[in-house]
Amino acid sequence: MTLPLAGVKVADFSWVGAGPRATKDLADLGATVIKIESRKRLDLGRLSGPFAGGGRDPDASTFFAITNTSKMGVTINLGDPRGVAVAKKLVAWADIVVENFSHGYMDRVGLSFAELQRIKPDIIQVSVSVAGRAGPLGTMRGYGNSAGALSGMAALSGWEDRGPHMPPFAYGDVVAPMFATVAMLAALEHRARTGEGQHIDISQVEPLVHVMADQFAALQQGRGGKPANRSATMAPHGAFPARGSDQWIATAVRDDAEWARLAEMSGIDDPRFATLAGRKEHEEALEKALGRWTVLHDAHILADRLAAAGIPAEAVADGRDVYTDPELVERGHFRTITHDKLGTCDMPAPPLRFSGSEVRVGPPPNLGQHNRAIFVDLLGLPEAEVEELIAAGALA
Amino acid sequence: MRGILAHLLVIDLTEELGAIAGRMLAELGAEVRRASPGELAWNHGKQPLGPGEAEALLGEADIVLRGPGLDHDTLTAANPALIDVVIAPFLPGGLNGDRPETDLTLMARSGLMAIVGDPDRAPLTLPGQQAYALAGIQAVIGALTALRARAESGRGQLVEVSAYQSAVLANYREPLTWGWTGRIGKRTGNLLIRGKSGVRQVWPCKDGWVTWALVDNPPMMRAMVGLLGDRAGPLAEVNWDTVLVADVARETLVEWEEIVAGFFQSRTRAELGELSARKGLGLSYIDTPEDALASDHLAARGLWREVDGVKLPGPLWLSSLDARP
Repeated sequence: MTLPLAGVKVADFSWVGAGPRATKDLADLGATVIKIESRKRLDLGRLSGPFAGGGRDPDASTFFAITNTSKMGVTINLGDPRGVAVAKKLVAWADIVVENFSHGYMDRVGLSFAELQRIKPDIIQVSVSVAGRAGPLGTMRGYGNSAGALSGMAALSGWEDRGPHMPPFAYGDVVAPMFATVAMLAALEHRARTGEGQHIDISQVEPLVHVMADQFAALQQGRGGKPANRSATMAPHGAFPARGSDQWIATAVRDDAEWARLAEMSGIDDPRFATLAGRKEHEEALEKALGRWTVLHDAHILADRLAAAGIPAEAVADGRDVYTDPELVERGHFRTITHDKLGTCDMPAPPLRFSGSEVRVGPPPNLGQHNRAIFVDLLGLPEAEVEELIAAGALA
Repeated sequence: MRGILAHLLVIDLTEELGAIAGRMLAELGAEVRRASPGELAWNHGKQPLGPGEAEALLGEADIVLRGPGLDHDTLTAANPALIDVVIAPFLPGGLNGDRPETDLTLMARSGLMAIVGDPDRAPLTLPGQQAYALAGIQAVIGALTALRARAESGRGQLVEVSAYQSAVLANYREPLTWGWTGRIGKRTGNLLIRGKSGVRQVWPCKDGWVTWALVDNPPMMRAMVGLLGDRAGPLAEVNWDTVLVADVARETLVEWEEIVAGFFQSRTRAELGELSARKGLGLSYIDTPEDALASDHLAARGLWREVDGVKLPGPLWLSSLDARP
């Protein structure tokens, strides 16, 4: 078995979430990803907790770690022309350059796409930003939650009688990196056939619109409005209280036959609910009746009972339930790594299994950990010069 | 956008789960053939398969996208170069292979629902079918990865995608936060949790809503304080280069946020959006789907495509190749 992306070379200038998650995919699939960062402008991910050991060591951030597995790390100060000169050597080595800096930053430091093409005519560059580089909002700064705001997703989230909702994680930082991974793989395929590189401009907004395409279609077809937990084609369809504090079971009844089985199990004997149309018409009463039954039961036990009867049901899992789920343990979703600051711990793997290729999850890089390996061994810079540049702050 | 995968033939046997995979490949120029029409949103750009045509085309296809239930060896017998992509709720052959699932129940099991919604009400899922969409995008990643491997080996392979694991991957903090700290995340309404407390994300303004948060980004924080001017109060005294907002107590954050809230309420969405662009606040107004459909920005980027009278997203991104003849 081999790593399928072995031989792909990425100069990764990205930081925080939206860029690094894309390059993590490539790295875990075997690409050589060299993360370029600077002590003078730390990746904000390195400042995000929780931290191993309880302090604030930027090499011990678990948030940074889960986003940067399997990569190598170097320090280059892009504010120093000598640092930029070394960065250009990395570009000459690379197949792909990834960045998610604010608009114009790469141009200002001398790494415009035109310059990258001059260095390497078939280079692929991927730029990720909230609203994309082109267009009226191209200069906009923000984070993944801005993408939720501009895509309509925040307005469609939450309860119908309340304002927009933004979950405590940035879904824009999840979907855009996946689009960026697809973009890099597609661009590599195109280059393999044509010799042609390209600059790809990915926003975080548009991927969110894509994953809600069905909601946009429904709106224009007269079926708009906040869905909350409900479905147009399934009822009951939601989260219902279970025994214990803040315990819930999600269930989705796909057809009338499933409802008949659930009605029998729960003792809900109400002819209004026999058909989907009836369940939709009386959805509030249906949900209350079901909740009065589910609240008597343990969420996990009840979910297993319903699933055994062919009715989709799952407990609403918390972090502990997920981390310890036998399904994930069996599948190796969390892979063990060893790292000098993090110790021996688990990191997420791609949700993919290949019959002829393998996946790795290696440790994240410490700041500048691979400076010597990259600058001296790979790029051929004299060791004394590298030491001088590090001391002078150009490679720090 | 340029059809950079126009050389690929894809047989799409998916139903709802993973249908976005064929949609993305079609947008990239691949010839995607599909047996049943399916929902317009996920299936525009695909071409129909006639009766019996799938069997014939499998002999020359590059990729098949499907659910579990077909035999890999049978599918690839006539075409060892075929990349066979299975998109399933769980990786086939395990503990839960036969468990019935929908998008909602996968979202519940992933832990995402535990943190979406308001603390005084039931957990919520995200709008649409996000576990299904995430699995579909992962299927494209898997397919294109196997395509690259095929260029080296000459052979296709079986690629299996777990929708459950795709959704767990999106829940990037909660399981590992429990693993590291024993802390269980809860629904917070609209607080973004970082470190010891959370920061508010959603704010009413004069004509709607905006999103902004106190975050560990000193230039953004200084920009906001600059705009507040005399109204900044205690915010003007904060050294943003040394404070870690993630570690500030919630009661202090509430005090700071009340100051910002007053400022937002006195301005319109457009005004705040313009101020953010000019001053680097990192703020965004919150668009309804109708606003997004009418957005000058998304139109300028060419996002929308009219399909049977319905505006649907078209391009996945912009490329420098699009500007070339």
